[in-house]
Amino acid sequence: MQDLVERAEQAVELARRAGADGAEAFVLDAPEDAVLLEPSGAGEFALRTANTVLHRGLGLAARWGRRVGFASTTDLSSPALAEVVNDCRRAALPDDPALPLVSAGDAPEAPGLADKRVLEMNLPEIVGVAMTVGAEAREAGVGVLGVVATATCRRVAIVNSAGLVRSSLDTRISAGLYAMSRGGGFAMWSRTSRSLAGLLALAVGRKAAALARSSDDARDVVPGLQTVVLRPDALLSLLATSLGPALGADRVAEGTSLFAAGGASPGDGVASAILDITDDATRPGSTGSYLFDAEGTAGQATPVIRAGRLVSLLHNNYSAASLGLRRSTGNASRDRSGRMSTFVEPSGPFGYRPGILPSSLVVTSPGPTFPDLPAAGVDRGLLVQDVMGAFVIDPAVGDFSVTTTNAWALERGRPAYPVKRAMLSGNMYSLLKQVLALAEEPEDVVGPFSLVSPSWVVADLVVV
Amino acid sequence: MKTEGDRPLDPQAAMEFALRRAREMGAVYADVRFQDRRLTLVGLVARRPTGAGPGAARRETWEASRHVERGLGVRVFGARGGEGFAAAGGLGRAALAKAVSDALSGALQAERTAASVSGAAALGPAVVSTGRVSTPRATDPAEVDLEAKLDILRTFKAEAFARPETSRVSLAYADSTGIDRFASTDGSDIETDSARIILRATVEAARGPHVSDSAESLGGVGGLELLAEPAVKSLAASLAGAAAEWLGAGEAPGGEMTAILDNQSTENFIHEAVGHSCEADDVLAGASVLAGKLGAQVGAPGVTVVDDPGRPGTVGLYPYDDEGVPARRVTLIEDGVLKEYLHTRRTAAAMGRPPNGHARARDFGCPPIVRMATINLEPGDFSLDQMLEGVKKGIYLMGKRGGQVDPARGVFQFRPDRARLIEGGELGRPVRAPSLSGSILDILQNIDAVGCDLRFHPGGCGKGFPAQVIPAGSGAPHVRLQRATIGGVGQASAAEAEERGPA
Repeated sequence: MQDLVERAEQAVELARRAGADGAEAFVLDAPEDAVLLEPSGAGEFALRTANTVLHRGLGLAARWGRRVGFASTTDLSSPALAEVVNDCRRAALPDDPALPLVSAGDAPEAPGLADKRVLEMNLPEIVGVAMTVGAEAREAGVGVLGVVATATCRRVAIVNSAGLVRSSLDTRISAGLYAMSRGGGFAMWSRTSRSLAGLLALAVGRKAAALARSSDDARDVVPGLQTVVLRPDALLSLLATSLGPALGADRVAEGTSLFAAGGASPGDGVASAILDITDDATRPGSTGSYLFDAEGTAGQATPVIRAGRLVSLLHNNYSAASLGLRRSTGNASRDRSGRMSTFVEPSGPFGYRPGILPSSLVVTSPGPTFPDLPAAGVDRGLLVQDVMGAFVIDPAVGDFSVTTTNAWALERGRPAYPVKRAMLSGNMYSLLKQVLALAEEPEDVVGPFSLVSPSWVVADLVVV
Repeated sequence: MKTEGDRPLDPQAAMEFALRRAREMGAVYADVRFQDRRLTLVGLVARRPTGAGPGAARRETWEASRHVERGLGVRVFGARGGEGFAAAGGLGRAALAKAVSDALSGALQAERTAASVSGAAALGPAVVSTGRVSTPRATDPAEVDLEAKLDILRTFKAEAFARPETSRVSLAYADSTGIDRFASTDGSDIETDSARIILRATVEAARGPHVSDSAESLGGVGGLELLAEPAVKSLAASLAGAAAEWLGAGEAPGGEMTAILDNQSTENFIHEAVGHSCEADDVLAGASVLAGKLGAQVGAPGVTVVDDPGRPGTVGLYPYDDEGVPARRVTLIEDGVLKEYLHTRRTAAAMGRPPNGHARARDFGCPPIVRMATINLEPGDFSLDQMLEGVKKGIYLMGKRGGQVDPARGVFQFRPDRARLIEGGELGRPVRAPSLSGSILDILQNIDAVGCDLRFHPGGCGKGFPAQVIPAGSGAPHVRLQRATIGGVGQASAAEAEERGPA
């Protein structure tokens, strides 16, 4: 870890020598071991590829007077760091506030984000995880088109000229597979955990197999207005490009959030009164938790919606300083998702200035959460595991028109039969107000941020 | 602190070192890709408060950044065909040796689990390509200062805000210049000097409670001439006009209906429905509905789809792919008959076909996989008016926002930028953009008219695990689809939607 801190310190020092009035360096080193298994005959799998994908680089922001520049490099050699300082100065433009820096403060405490087993894993062990997952599915009687597993040890260092020095180490391990059953049912299912034990406990292979088998002999959907139950995977797909980015104060300021320009502001009812949503980066072991955000601010828990009312937006240090707030909510993110894409882009998050994203959106209810759908009063409707096509939702507008992957018609609150692809249409901000109940066990699912939520029972969605 | 082992080598020495090291460690084949590219990104969000007139004060947020993408990726094959890949961010011997070792470890691990395959056979016949090539450009972005790039965005902004309805302009400019080198133990040694430039634009209009936006991209492989002032102004005026015209647009109907797709909607549909299903890695894994269908009639007569990495000016242009194979035009579907898949060397060898130059990697840090370059539907004979004739009720889908496909299940969906109703053979009122979803094998048979107006646009594509997002071009004329499933909000017919009026 000290090597990354030294690189960050060196970049900040080089900026200072180049006359910068302030500087912040972010360094990432997160090699990702990824394996792909394919079937190789009776009950066997062959390792198709084993790659170590590089996610490594440094991003530097520096200020000369009121002008702020940003530059990045994948090359951490000393000549390259001098080059990045020069690039930073050449890219500097007037900005206000001009690079507010996170103060050193107390070092945050680690919420258990690194697993020793994952840190020590070698390639054969990652292959073993994929084999286990594939075997689980085959034992459950389904065919497997492919199994993937990845393990990442992510090291981050942030140093700024205000004296802040932060470093962290965390782990992620994931597995997924594509299962196909004899009756034509398909399922693509994956899960991610901070720990090996956590991943294995999720029984990815068995769950994928069950999902595929329960999708056999699908029938056409009955179109019309229906009660729709959205499982956490479907919810995250929809929220990742709507509510998640819309909660960012940067988007509100630039007018690319529904909550901008009079759309809604803190105190307004924006969702069903049965919804409480908290952004929480401090849950021990959660995939969405972090020690500090992409500017070095400690991860926090921030209530954003209480009984359907918007109570807070999410901030990074820049948006907090813009509004004269005492501190950021610790939601600076360098994830590329949600940004306008040209597809000509830096190769990693170190190449992006910090935006704002949730860490983990944790959904609960001020009222009851029901153990199953009949208990929640669901009779007929549609149960949706996940959807495709949600990534084009505009967070300023919220319109969606998506296609289900695995879905089932509900009768008396229980799956009666699987349906072929169905389309769901509507508006995400109307949908938030149409939530009737929360039901089933919460799950922790991962995308650009994490969502911890039970299923949502939603009234009157258009099904085509 | 620094040791001899991590002192950077020059690129030529680094590539030779990695190849030599791979051979010494037992690789039967190795290739290295060195990349040294500079990116400049500029972003602008300019906003005019809702309801304010053209002269009202605007709030603007500008961002600019510069990036160095430099490093080396190494891929190795073991004696029994196992493949491994790893990358080094620096060119020091220690980092290069670790990358080779990691890659070889992956290859050997693969061989422990796979049936025995000859290492040479895994990649097919040797490919030896040599040369130095440059992609064409009149004004190299690397030789133009930042101010000139800011001017492109200022030009767009001024033109877009000339419309009084325009409330927000969001722009993202990017250029990438530099070299990509490829060398292999087969004897390939290629250097490609290229430049790519893109402007992504979204214009939002607002009036009272109504908000509408329209988005499109401009650019390709080339220089700043691709963003010449007339083209930038034309795009700004077009998007601002569309955003204003779609203010208060009604809801689209849902259900099965006749759909006419404009150029961009068609290219999005072809990319998702045909392109991904023709990628041979998915075909070999049994994860494409087009697997085993070479020679079969998979589309209507008149449907011809090609992928051409040599299409001038498009964002997917490259002379050699990331395995050093000369890129070439591939006819995927000819008059409705499936003719070929897109291949890497490995997939081509596995299917007994020649490689066709479609191995692409996002950057040096990722391995090459089967990808599209610039896919297009070849033009037919129909004009838009001829397509509209006889369509009593239907929908006209325009522009593209993005799509997604599940090739194994054979299901795709895409979302256009905006839409209009079709009634009585004429284009009717604007409606909000619904998605189109369908079964690939059904919908290719349902194309009953192909337009004569082929156009190309820049775009991008994500694939792989971990995902690799790359620039990819596409082109198409208009098409007409029968029995298209449209995900509008109502079961209403087009006529009923018309009567309901704006939301």
